[in-house]
Amino acid sequence: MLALFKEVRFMSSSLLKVENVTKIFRYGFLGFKFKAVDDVSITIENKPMIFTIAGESGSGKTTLAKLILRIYKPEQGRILFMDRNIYEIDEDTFHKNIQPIMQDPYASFNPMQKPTRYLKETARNIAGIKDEREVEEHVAKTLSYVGLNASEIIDKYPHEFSGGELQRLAVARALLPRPKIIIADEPVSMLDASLRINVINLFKKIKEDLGIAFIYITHDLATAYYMSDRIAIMFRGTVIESGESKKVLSKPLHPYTQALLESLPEPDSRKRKLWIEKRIRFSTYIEEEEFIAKGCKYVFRCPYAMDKCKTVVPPYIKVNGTEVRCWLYESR
Amino acid sequence: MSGEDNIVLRANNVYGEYIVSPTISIKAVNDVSIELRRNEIVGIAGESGCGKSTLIKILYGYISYPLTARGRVLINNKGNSIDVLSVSEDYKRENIWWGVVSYIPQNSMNVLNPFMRIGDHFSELLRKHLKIEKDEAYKIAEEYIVDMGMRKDILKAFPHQLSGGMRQRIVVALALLLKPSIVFADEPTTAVDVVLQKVLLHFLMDKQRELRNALTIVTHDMGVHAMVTQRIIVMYAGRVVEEAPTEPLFEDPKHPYTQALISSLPRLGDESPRKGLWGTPPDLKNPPPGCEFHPRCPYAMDICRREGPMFTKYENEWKVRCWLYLKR
Amino acid sequence: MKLAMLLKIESFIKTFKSLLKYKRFRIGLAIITIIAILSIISLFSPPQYKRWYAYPKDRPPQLTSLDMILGTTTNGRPVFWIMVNALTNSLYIGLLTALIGSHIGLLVGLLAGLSHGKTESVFILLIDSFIVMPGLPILIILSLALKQSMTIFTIPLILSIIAWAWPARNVRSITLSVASKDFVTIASFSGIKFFNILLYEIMPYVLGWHLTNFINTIIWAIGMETALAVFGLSILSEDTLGTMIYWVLNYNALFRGLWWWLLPPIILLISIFVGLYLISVSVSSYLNPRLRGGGQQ
Repeated sequence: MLALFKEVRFMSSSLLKVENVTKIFRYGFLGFKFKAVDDVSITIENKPMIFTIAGESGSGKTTLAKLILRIYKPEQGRILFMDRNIYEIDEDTFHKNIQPIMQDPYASFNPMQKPTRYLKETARNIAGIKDEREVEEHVAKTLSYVGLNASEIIDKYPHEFSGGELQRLAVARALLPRPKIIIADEPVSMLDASLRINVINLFKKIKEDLGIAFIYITHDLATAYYMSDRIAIMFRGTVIESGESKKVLSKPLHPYTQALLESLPEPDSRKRKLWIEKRIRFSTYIEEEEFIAKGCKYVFRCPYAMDKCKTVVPPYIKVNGTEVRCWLYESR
Repeated sequence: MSGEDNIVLRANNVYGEYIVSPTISIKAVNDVSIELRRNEIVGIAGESGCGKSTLIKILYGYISYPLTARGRVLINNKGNSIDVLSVSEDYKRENIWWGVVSYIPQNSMNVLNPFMRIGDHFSELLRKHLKIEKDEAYKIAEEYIVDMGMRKDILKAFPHQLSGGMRQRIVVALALLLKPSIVFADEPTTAVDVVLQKVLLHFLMDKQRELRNALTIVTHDMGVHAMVTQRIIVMYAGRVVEEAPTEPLFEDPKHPYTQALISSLPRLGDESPRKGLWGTPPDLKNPPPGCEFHPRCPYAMDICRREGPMFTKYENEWKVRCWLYLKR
Repeated sequence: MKLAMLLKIESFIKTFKSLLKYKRFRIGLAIITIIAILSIISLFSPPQYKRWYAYPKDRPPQLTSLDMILGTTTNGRPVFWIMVNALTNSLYIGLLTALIGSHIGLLVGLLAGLSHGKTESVFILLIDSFIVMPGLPILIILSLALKQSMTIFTIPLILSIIAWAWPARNVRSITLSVASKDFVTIASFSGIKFFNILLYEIMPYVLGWHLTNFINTIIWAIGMETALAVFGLSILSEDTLGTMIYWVLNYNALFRGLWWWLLPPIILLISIFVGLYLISVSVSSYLNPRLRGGGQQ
């Protein structure tokens, strides 16, 4: 079984493929149904890379992460890991290959248990290390790789750690079984600004040293530029632009991406004049309307909205290697 | 107030502590002195635990158990100099809050009453401070809302019917309604998405330009500071460590903490490798001796571990609190 | 395994010591201790206390002997001995109902919280139907129907039919909220199997609530039995605090001035409720900051 699996690895060109996945939620007593993820397709190549899924709150990026992690089940579409449907992979193999890092380090660990417990369990159950001494060695090695000292950590409870340390612990735990992909959902949003770059640099190091791919979910485009290879921008459940991250973030095609990049306040006061002068027309939009829009979801805010945008969903159009979902780029 | 027409708030040697138990307290604000000037946008920067939110609460005068404060915070109310820390809460409610000094919190629901329509929020404020009738107040509110680019029918809505971004806009509008001369904004755009953040900040800046008030923005987002503020006060572990005009500060920060903070931030279009700070902020129940930053400072010297430094003042109103700049 | 047991006892002692810091807990514990002592005294009851007219009737309290310390009833029985036995029986009913009812509730609540889809809907329907049912009227009807078989052992069973629903709802909502937390996902990705997740991740949170539910069910059950008894629908062959009140009303003791017969059951009932409530409330508030991620002290 494992041998067959290894062969499959060399044959498949994609590490993870999300195919036309839709996830429907309802909230409220009478059930307002909306598509948190609407017909999303993403392909992550089988090589060590950092793939960013970026968007604001309500974009569906966290839902997509949970769909990949099998926390939610899609209503439509399927997700393939190495060409195998993730629901056909047994639990242990799945956990060995895909690992999560959550946004809030304090929520990632049970406040009543010591975090080392989860590291040891991961080493025993997922990495399959039988010998207890080996387990401790492997855990200690991985901890020092992320910059933590095993002996200082071993007896502490989560509240005794700082946010930065605890998040690095979470990274160490995800790293233990040497997975193929790590899904990091806003891993640095809750950390202090001066500590964020440390964790980001750690991800880069892991990708280069250990060949592990990352799916980095964030709303912070600056860190996305700094570390990612490819990026997909999400808006109200759809991917509206995707391609090489440096390209997308320096020459954005979709009006939403453009608006995002123009609004970003940067810690560089030379960009101040431009930021102040370029005005954004504020349109009052209603969230629910945008979710159930028949055509392009951005139509209520888009300065270039045409009649077609209101009724027909734009297809993915390839422009110079970037895929953009916008009628503006039709017939190119 | 020494007759300087320009200064609207002067805080001297302000201390703020949270009482945890009879013997333990968290020294959140430690001997801070600042000045706020008319027609100026000041930013207070710093990361978690630096004391900036506590400082703002103290300057605003909203001090409730377990927070205790001492020091002097002088503001100008109709020609009289008032110490915000020594007048009663009733006095502040009647005369200072909303009318002279305003506070915009991070979470709009800390200000909006879920049982009152938006229009009533406006009219209540207007009627209380301008002593006018309900109809007149409503008309003023309508004009104000339309002027801001929002629809009139928002006034009829209840807070929960609006999106978070909308509510934050309303809160900003309410804070500026009575044209206060001092406005405090505590992380006003953290809970809001990036595009709306720009809209809100532009709105705040436009109003500031129009009313010429003293706007103080507290945020950990250095990007917001770079784009919006004219002067920045950097705090660490309850103290001010550096204070300077914005553009020069970003170009050449003096304090090691400010340097580390600014250089650790990634920017669009720039892939060059960056380094962050290691370690954690100190425990404010038991701060380390000497300079609070010394355990994490790459330039820590012997004296840093023993004594806290004094401020070095430069021309250009630049202040640094660091032994590197003090001549011995 | 033994080490785990020792650690459990150690943490229990630690918890107990922390609870003692709460004034409410100390007061509650003191009251319940007095109640327990009174209950134990019932073991020494003289055999004739059950016989009518074994003592002179309607006598007020006399300090001559323990038997007469609270006087006698219109049936010539010593109030003191009735009281301590009634106390024991009421406590017994309360405890047994709580044991059965709150544990059924725990089980159903756990299953309901962990299930999805149609199974979950079935559980929700089941729990909510029972919660919505008016307890006292149903119990009255049941008692009328089962009048012959109302004994100290069957009353708890009958009460349990209603008692399990609220704990079940409580446990379900705690289970739901804990099961959706991030650390359960992380535990799952650490290879911890479902049963161990239930035991080590979810149960520690649930158990705290289960304890409060247990105590509240005791209070509820004693109250219900008393209510039934006052209607004359409880067991008449044994003494409970409720049946004491029933006889008091039956013989018009209030108007006849027999205060020594009326007051003891009332004072005891109030004491039990207050004592248990104080304990329950202090346990809840002890649990709360811990649930917010305080960890061990």
